[in-house]
Amino acid sequence: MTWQTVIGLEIHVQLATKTKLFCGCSLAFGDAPNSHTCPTCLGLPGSLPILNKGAVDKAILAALGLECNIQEFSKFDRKTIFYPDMPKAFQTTQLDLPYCLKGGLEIPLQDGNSKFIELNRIHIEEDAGKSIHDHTPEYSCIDLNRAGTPLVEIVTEPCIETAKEATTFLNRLRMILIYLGVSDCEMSQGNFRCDANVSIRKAGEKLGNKTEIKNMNSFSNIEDAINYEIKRHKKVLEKGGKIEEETRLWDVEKKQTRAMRSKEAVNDYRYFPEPDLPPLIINQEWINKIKSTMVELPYKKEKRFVEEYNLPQYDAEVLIQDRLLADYFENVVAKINGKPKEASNWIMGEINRWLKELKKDITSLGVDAKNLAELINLVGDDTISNQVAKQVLEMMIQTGKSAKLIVDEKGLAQESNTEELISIINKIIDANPAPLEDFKSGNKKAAGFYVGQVMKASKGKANPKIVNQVLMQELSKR
Amino acid sequence: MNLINLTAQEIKTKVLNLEISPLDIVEQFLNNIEQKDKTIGAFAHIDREYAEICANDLEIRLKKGEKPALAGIPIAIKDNISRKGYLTTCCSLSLKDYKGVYDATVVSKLREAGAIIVGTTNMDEFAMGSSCENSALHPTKNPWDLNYSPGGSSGGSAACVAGGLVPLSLGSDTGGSIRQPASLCGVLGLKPSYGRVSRYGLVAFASSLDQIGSFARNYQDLNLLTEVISGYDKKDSTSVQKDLNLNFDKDKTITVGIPEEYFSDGLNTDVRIKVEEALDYLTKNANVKTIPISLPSLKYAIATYYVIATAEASSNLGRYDGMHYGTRFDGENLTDSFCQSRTNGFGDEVQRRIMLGSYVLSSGYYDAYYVKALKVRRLIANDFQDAFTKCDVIIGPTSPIAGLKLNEDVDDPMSKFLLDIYTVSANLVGLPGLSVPCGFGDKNHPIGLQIIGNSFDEACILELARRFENAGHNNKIAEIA
Amino acid sequence: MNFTEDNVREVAALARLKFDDKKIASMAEQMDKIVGYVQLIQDAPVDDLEPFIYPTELTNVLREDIPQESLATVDVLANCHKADEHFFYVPPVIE
Repeated sequence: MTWQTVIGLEIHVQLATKTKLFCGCSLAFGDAPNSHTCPTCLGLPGSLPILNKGAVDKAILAALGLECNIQEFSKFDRKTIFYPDMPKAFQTTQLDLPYCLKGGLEIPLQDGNSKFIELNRIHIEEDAGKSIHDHTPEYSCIDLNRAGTPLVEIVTEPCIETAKEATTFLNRLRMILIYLGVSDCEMSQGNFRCDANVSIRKAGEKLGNKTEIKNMNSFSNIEDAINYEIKRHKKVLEKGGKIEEETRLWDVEKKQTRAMRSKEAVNDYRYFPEPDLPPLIINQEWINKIKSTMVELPYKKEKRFVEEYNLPQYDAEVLIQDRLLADYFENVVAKINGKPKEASNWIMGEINRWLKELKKDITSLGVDAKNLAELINLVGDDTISNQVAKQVLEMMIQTGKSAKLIVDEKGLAQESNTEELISIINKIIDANPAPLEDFKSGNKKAAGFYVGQVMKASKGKANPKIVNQVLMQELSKR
Repeated sequence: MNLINLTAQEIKTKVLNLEISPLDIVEQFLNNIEQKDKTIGAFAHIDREYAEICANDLEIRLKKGEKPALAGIPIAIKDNISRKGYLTTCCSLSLKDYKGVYDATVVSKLREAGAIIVGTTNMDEFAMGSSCENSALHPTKNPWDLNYSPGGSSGGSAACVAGGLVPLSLGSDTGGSIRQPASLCGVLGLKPSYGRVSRYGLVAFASSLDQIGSFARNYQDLNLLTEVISGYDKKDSTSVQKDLNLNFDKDKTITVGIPEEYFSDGLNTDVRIKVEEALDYLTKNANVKTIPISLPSLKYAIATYYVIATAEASSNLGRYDGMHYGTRFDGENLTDSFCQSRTNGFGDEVQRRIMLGSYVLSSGYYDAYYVKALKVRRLIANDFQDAFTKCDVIIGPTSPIAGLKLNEDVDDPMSKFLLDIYTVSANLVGLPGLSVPCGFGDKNHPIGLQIIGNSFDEACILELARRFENAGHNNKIAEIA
Repeated sequence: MNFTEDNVREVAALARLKFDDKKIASMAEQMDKIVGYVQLIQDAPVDDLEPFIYPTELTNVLREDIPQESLATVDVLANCHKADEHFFYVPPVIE
């Protein structure tokens, strides 16, 4: 009998607020250590928490984006943790009455079907500070800038069956949260962190012992770590061994998981309701207010792009990856004379290439939707060729000038002056009589040589359609 | 001019009339404190420098014509109220050298009101105790009898007012820690309604029970200080937006509920006699009508209190691990350092309460103890709710005893539990409670009368204190040799 | 017995306290009395009652998401047993 894998994910997402969850310290990544701290986030004697409304707003937004049941009554609880990066010796979180239950999102499977990944809950909690181990040998150094940062923890049901499903889900989840402005979801900055609970079982048997994997800071890490852990479970169980329920860290160098050394001797968090924070009531009015600020979700947009703009599925999928890029696409489409697919081609091709090369986003590239539309229209009405347009785009990026201005300044408009063309063509025919003979003897392809020569002579400015017309006319006169 | 025995009100008047200067006050009071506190040990830290800073600030403001509410009044604050740059040790070894990093809201309000903070007062470590003997510094003696305790945990705050060292002081009350020492020291002590005074900067013992309150030798002074420290504070999420209005209809008949349970077997005879005399005085002279009431859940109050208070305390005191501030004792590794710092930093009573609190929150016991206690807390609250449909205030003794001898039963952890029997309920329910002196027992130890009001009805209990004034128990000062 | 020496060891570990054998014995004895006493609440008729968690009727006490000034790092670290100008120093944390 084959093994079945059961995976549940816990995702910690840093909310994109200006200040911490319970105090007015600003959130700043990479600033001087312990420079964003105050009595509250330091846990100084006598300090008290005040809940950040902005954090609750973002949390509600996340819940709406994931179609969850927002709970009218929720409360905060203390979770006891003795650790130097947790200065109050408890984490303020939500235990039995979180603000949000259920919900989830649909993911595409490799076989073409789709699957709904159900959430168990989302709750609001605060982050810990950071421990730095390589600063001095005899001590660990503590930086509490991150302590008290607002997070939501998104917990899935154990309904994920492969590592690939897990990362597909995470990708989609991440995109939704970025779209909604809930979080920047920068994994490298630790504001989108995922832990995975993995177990395996034989079909029909009860759930096996699970291990929790931490310290995976990229999607490929997550996929590798889960796959490693599945293999490890199989190996242990097939040898008749037993899986210890434990927390394991992913070692990205060695590409393996290892048990955490500093496991707490006793794990009893002694949760109880936080007496310093009155309960949170989220009424329909509050929800509606947040709903009214919501942007279109990425997968609704994808569907609409296919239907409304007749884009291939692939194009829609690429364009919606970045909300700003998708908006850009729509703005370009609104201003071009041609088909939306042309805008899509330009954005997916040249624009994307430049974004990657210059490591910029669409807002800082210096080519707004109006300008790109103008460029596309210049190609559409045969003012410039596709080839020239690419050069023009480069100049637009470099100078910030409009497409028209560059075409005018550089005289890049295609040659449509037939008299000049006739004279060029005849000079070239006279200088190269051989292909003319071929042409006359019925080899119509021989004309291609002259086309190439004419284009070369005009430095690409000649309109190939017109070159062809005039050339045929002149050849037939000979 | 001798200022020492003046009331707060009198000092303020003289300061505003520019008859005396704030620095004169510092000089006289600090000299007196430094001398007499050697005998009673009411202070944890005497801060002449800070007092001078307060006085100098006030001097400037007086010159500008300002008339702040507590102008020039010397005041002592409990050692668990944070003050920027000054020791705030909770009389614990674990915070021996800890200096506050910010001002508590009440400290800001006192400074704003022109008070002169002369130092911090001795207390049971982290406010856990009823005798001040759990201080890591030294015990405090009752100014009325040096062989006796001033009570606790705000024993220092009560003793320094009773001994005439200051006219006013601040304490904190989690289960009776203001009212019980007020009673034992013959002064007035008010625990306001939960949410009335900001807890921002009060080192937490049990967050849902703690409240800062005032000590004074007469009701006018008490009102003066209470008005200054009360009020909504956006830094405390449990602060309530209700104004303190002490205007009360002086002709209104006040109905006083007398709970039978407060006069049962455990009550000392001296105390019973004095409380009954006081009630007799009130009915005859103060437009008061008494009715018998019942608070049947009183018998559960102490047990309920100990479960809830220690549970919260075990969490609130988790942070004293010596890592970011406070005293660190190095161990073999990180976890051992946590253990060493906490085991060496805390005294026995604090350790016992942390143990109980950790136990009642641990898995397998949470429902049986903690949740159960929260339900009993509801039962007790319902008792009071019923009572207040029949009466305006509830009166009984503050403490079942008239005097608490020092060094008695120190090895029995339970010996002082029942001293809180009449006071803990007000904390569990969040009600205001006042202890007013009502005479002395046979051995010349003070006795206090407790007035418990309905939620946010401080006005009524303070009105009763006013009507009780002519009974002649206010402004008593113990002579300290 | 309401509270044994083993209970003392377990709970002390949870609370990050460490006692020698003598203290464990005396602590067990004291805790036994205290836990015995608080059993009183088990008799209370509370089956239909909601837990009393919050002493006020407040809800949604919220702060706008507007940055406030933080403390100066020098003040943050001033009370620390061991620190440099940036960090708290603690015994090595092992993961």
